[in-house]
Amino acid sequence: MMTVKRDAMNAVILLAFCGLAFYGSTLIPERSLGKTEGDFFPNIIIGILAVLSLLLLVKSVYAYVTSEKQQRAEPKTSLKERWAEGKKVWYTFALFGAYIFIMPLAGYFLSSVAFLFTLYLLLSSNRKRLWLVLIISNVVTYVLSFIFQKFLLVFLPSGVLF
Amino acid sequence: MKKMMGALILGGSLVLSACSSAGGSTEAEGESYPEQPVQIVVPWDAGGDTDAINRVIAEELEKELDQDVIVKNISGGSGVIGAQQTLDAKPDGYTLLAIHDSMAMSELMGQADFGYFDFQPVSLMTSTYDLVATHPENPWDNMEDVVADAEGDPESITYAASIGSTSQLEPALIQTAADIQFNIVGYEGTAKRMKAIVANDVHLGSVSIAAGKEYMADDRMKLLGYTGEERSAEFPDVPTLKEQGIDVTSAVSRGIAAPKDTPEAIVEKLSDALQNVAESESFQERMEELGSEVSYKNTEEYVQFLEENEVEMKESLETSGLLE
Amino acid sequence: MDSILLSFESILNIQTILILLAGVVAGIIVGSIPGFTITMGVALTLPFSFSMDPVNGIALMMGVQVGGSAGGLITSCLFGIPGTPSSVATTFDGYPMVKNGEAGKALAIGLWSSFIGTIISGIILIFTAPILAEWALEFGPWEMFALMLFGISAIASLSDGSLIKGLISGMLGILFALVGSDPLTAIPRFTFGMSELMSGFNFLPVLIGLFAFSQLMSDIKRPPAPVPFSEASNVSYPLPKLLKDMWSSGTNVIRSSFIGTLVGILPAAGGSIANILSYDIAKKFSRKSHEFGKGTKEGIIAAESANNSSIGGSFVPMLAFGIPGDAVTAMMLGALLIHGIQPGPLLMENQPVLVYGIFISFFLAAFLMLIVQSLGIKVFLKINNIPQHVLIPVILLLCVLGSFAVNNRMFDVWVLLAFGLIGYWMKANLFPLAPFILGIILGPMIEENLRQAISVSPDLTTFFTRPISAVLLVMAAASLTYGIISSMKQNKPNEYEQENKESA
Repeated sequence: MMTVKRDAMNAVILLAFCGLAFYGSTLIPERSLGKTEGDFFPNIIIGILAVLSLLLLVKSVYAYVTSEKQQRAEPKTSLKERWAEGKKVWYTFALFGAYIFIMPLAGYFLSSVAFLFTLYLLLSSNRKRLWLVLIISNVVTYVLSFIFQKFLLVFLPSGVLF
Repeated sequence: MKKMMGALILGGSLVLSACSSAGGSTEAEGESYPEQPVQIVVPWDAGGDTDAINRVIAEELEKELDQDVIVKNISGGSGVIGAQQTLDAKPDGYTLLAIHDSMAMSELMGQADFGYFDFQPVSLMTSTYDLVATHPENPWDNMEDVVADAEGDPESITYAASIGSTSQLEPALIQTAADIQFNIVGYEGTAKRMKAIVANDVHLGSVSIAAGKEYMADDRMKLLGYTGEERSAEFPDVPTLKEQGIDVTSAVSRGIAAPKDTPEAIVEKLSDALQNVAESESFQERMEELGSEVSYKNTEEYVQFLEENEVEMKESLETSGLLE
Repeated sequence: MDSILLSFESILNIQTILILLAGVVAGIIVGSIPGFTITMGVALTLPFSFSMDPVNGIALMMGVQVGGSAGGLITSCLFGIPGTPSSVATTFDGYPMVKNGEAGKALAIGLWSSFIGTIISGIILIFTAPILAEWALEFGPWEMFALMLFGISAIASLSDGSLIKGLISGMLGILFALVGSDPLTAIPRFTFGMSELMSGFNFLPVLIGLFAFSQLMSDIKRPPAPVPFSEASNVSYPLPKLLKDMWSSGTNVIRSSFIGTLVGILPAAGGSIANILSYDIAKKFSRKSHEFGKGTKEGIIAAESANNSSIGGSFVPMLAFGIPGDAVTAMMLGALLIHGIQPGPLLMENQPVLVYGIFISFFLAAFLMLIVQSLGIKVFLKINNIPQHVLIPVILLLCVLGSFAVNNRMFDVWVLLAFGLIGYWMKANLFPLAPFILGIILGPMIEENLRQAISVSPDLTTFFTRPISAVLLVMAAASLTYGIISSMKQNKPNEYEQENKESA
């Protein structure tokens, strides 16, 4: 039943997204440069998406209403449990966000070493030989930066703080 | 012990990162420039005309500067994305930008909030003229035929152009000059435009000299007019638009610019080096193969040229109704 | 005939073969790293190719392309993350097969499919390039629109689970692909004032964001059960068994290679479309279509022979007309331009030695790819033994570098994160990812061709009066109906209970 409720919510999110997209398409200026305007195709797609989202909403609500009562009440996973299960994922996302936020400031090298090391700490329960992990983080970061800057001529952010 | 190891390694990475960020010293003013590879940002895809011309420039410039010159393609947004990045780059002469007329176009059309003079122009390098081409099955043999037909039935003749870029200017100018109306169909990129002409999906389109030669020889295209002031040496039989009563000349002028506030000494050194490139025989030969004319201008002349170019572009856009 | 001999002479020397080999090795590496595309790899070889003579320069680029297309299958199978955009469909069956403990088999079948696909398309290229090129000219905006519609109809059969959700994914994909300047009028759309969005979302960070993040995050959430490891089946799959496998799927190999070649010929289509389209067609033709997505060899064969054969196809318009079919051939033409060779309809006449040289090095690249990667598989399989908590940080770092390298800006890395979140949300809520990718690839082309067609002639009946276009539209309708019917049959009773089980 989780999925049914979540799908109803997803449908609402999607409808809101359609609204945003439609607002975006009204911002497209008409220049009469060709036979069709820039908002011609987007509006078709937004329309189809809105219809599909409505269908999903109707379908999930219908499934909820017709489902048996006890089934409806049964699997109650609390928010806490779900958080516990997905905790590491959200930490990883947050860590990743922090990493790419810091990279232009602290430079590629320092931020990447820190990222590799912290993510390892987050994902692994093994706390032995952390110095080795740190060495490997350094080596990986340095080797990759060497390859990128020397061979691929991609100049990585050097940072503004140092 | 382990903690110490950790601290040591962390310290090590700090030192390493400090080393890697040091390097670009700012005191070098021209004298020792260039001490490291110079990067030319080409804000278009690899493989196009602009890319090819600038890669040749880079190769020749390498000899002059005795330093690596790297072409970096940062394409997208009709050249705006790459230009934006050069705009934000350090003005140390190590990041240069390949520019052409589309920059003025993008600014005037409101696609970019910067123009030529938000950069430090260095030199003009080449000018390229186009040919108006059509499929051999179509009834027209020159632009006069086209104009006559279009007068009778406005918008019946389709013209492929990438709308919002300089290639749109050509049909727009012809329309105004001849007082006719085309049906301009948006085709982004030279390759798609060529295919559309060869397959006769559209009636008219512009092609470069080098490409036009091949397609005409294989009887896959007819060439109706040339956009230069005078006839091209390659096509003595193709009349200019002017000769056919259409008062239009149109060229793509390609040059090199640097971020604003690049030290004068460096700009001068670059401009001199580019002059040597432009005057070298090998460069002129290769430009001829690419169907472009070498039209070097030094920094001062180039700035003046760009000022005039911007005014002309504005007028063209206004007269052709693309800009109110 | 003389020119063929001359071509052999210009190719079969140590220098050219070494260059080709270097290209193949570089291609396999680039292809196998998520976050790197073949296009990027070829672009990087561009400067080197200038200092070589034209045949060698092209050979280098070709090596990267052929190697890269096969290299993409490694990451697709081992991690479920497409190594390149043209190996998206390879993940559908490759990854499940590896999970079933048949890593060696998955990689070997993928490799041989790539090899055979390359060879078949090479043969088609040599014998029919001029005819096929004329045929490709028949594809105006109307035909391209109809073809893209046929392509997108695959959404219906690719959305295992809920059809509505699959369609929603597809529409979302199209919508996200519309961000940026309008291809026809260059007017900015959905950029909400951000100049970085002028050129839209770059495909690469979007793709790896969707696949890599959603895959890695679900691995983090529920660490995958250790792959059943048996030395014999995992490390190397015996060649006789493999050849038997390939033989018994002969029709699939040949059909997929033809599809790949034909799709490759059409302008702007290319490997990523060929890969998914061929997978979808194989699934529809198969009597065991329910096995698709669960680790059947047929899925890998269809996906891998098609993306490699599309390379041969993409050379057709390049050699016949000097018109590039995709970004890679555009760069090859650029390299020729810089060498003073004007690619055009007379290329074959004016430069026969070069053209035959391209043919020969294409075949040679295929063989080198087979040899190098057969050796490489053994090394790559070792990656499977590295623990997740070591691998995930490094893969994420590679994704960051790859996204950054696209345009040298952090913006694309943020795009990576944004689509990582979207992908995770989609996967958690059972919205299939494949239709989203299909939408992103095909959406802009559907729009461009539809609007070009309307601009040229506002009469919509043209779509039905042009024969090829009409046939393709009928095929699109049939494929969509077939997809809808089979998906309704599949989960008629109570979809939600079924989903509950799956998501539990």
